[in-house]
Amino acid sequence: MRKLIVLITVVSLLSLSACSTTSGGRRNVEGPVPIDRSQLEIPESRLLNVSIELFDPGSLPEEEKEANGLSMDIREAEARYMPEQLRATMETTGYWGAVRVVPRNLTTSELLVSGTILESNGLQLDLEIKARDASGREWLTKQYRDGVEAEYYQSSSPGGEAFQPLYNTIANDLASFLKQLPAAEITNIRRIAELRFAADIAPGAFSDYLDLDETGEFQVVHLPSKDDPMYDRVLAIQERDLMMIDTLNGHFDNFYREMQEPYAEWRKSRSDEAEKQKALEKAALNRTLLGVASIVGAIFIGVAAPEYNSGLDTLSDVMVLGGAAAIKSGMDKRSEASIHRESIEELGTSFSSEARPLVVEVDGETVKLTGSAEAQYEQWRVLMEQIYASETGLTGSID
Amino acid sequence: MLAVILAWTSTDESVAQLRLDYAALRAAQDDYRAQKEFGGLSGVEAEDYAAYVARLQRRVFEDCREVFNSGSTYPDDLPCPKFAPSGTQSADIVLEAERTAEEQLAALDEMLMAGLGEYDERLLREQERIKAATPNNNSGSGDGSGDGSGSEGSDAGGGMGGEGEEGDSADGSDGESGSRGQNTGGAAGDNSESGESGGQPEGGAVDSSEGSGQSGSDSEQPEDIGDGSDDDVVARQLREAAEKETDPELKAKLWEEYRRYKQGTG
Repeated sequence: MRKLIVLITVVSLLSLSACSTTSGGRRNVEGPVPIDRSQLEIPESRLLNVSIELFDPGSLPEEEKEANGLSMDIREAEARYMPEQLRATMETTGYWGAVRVVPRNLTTSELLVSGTILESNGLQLDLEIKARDASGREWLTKQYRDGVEAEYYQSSSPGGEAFQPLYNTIANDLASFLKQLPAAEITNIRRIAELRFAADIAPGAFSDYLDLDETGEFQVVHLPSKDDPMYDRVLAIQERDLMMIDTLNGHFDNFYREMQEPYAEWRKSRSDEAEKQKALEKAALNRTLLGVASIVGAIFIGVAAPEYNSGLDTLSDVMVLGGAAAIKSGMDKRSEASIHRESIEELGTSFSSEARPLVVEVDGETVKLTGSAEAQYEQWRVLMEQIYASETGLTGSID
Repeated sequence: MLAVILAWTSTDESVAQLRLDYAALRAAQDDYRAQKEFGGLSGVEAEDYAAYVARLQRRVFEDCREVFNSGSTYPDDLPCPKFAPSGTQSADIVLEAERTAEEQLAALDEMLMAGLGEYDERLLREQERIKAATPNNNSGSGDGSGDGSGSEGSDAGGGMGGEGEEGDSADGSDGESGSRGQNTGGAAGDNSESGESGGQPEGGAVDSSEGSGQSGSDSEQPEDIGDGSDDDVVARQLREAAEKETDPELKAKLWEEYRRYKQGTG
């Protein structure tokens, strides 16, 4: 009976340690996500322009160990890289007008998409995406998660995007919402976007064309006449605004291109090291548990069989020695895992130092371009005010 | 009456032009200094940009002269030298008062259009600069994202259907490298714009190095610059601007602009 109890105890402890071992599949996602492309060419009048804001980089765990080689420098770079990836994906669907990446909180847009990076470590990507149109209506607020195994990076070509299914899913969700909208609603959104810009550039002339209702959505109160020269001027300025954003997108595009290779390399190397680290940590845990189980079993045998029994004594000794060896082996594995952890941190530091100057550069270009544009718009606002005053017979002069 | 209107229009236009050119100069100067500070300009770009700023500087001085010649007074907020008021000033004040609302509106509209045109130019310049800074096609994966990441997105999306991003991405990288090579070539051509000075005995590069060597004492001038005794108002202002300038590249370009102006007027 005692032997049976000992056996059950040892077996249950062994099976406990075995529970921590699982086998991994190739990809940790539900499957491939085909991109939804428009089968017909959509008339220009029914296309919405999309602005994707630079993402919010989110935050990292405060504990350095938990962050495991990730840094805010890397996140900042990703926050500029990922919107470009989404832009590229959406552009190919045929559902949208121009798809642009824009600085955060800069502009109104027909459809504004913003995102926050919740988790990004090469093996897993979690994003929170929000989309809102010019009227203020929310299209979606949703979290997206995708995962890959380290093997993915070994087998894929360098140009491939590991988390393309995630970007496809976002693009498909947005397209799905768009398809529900009647044509008149799309026209209305476009009109509101124009009028919001008009109210910003020439508030005296256009601020009362829109009304903000109690739900926080804009409603068109009245429309400018077809041949309103003031409105034509606004549209001419808006054209420059879009041209400025397009110019800015040139900088973002260059950033994306420069980042692509080192980023792919970092994700590949980091994932590889992280997998090895994870495997070693599991092995270390298994062996430690096995060792502890053996020693506990040996003690139990000693307690359960107080009288001298040479067979049980020998078994007990073997279990203690075996348990000690297993614990020692577990410690060795843990030590090996820490080498991979260090390696991950080094990779992070190295990639951070590569990404940081690129981020600084693209941010500098953004500030310069948007700063000088804002100064220019301020001049035009004054000029538009003078023109409006002159047109309506109120005071106003050139000087 | 027609002559009066024409005289008024030219005065009005010259002040408007001065305003626009001055605004462009200020913006370009600020941008140039900010970019220099940021280290965002390479040697050729900096030289090219400095030449552009110097040209704008000259245009502003020439605008000042235009305004002066038209007999108008300078607006106080513009940096033109003060000259004795001309005899026609009182007539201009009368003309100013006679302007109809339509005329005033037309002038304002013209100012807006000129400002838009100026802004277009600046953006085009910036786009040229971006094109020149586009990463070269010397790395395989760099090209993959390509002329746009647009093509890559398309590729990857297509790949999802068959779970084969790899093959698609490779497709994407193929077609792009050639066109990027073109871009680089175009940019090189653009940069030669600053090489206008290459046709002159004093090349831009030589001037730049001179300027650099003289950065310790800003008031020094290149040896081929005369004493300025025959300078007119524009040349004198260009000379002063060059003497005061502390940035060696911009200084060199201002001297170059001075030489060019003197050659044109001499």
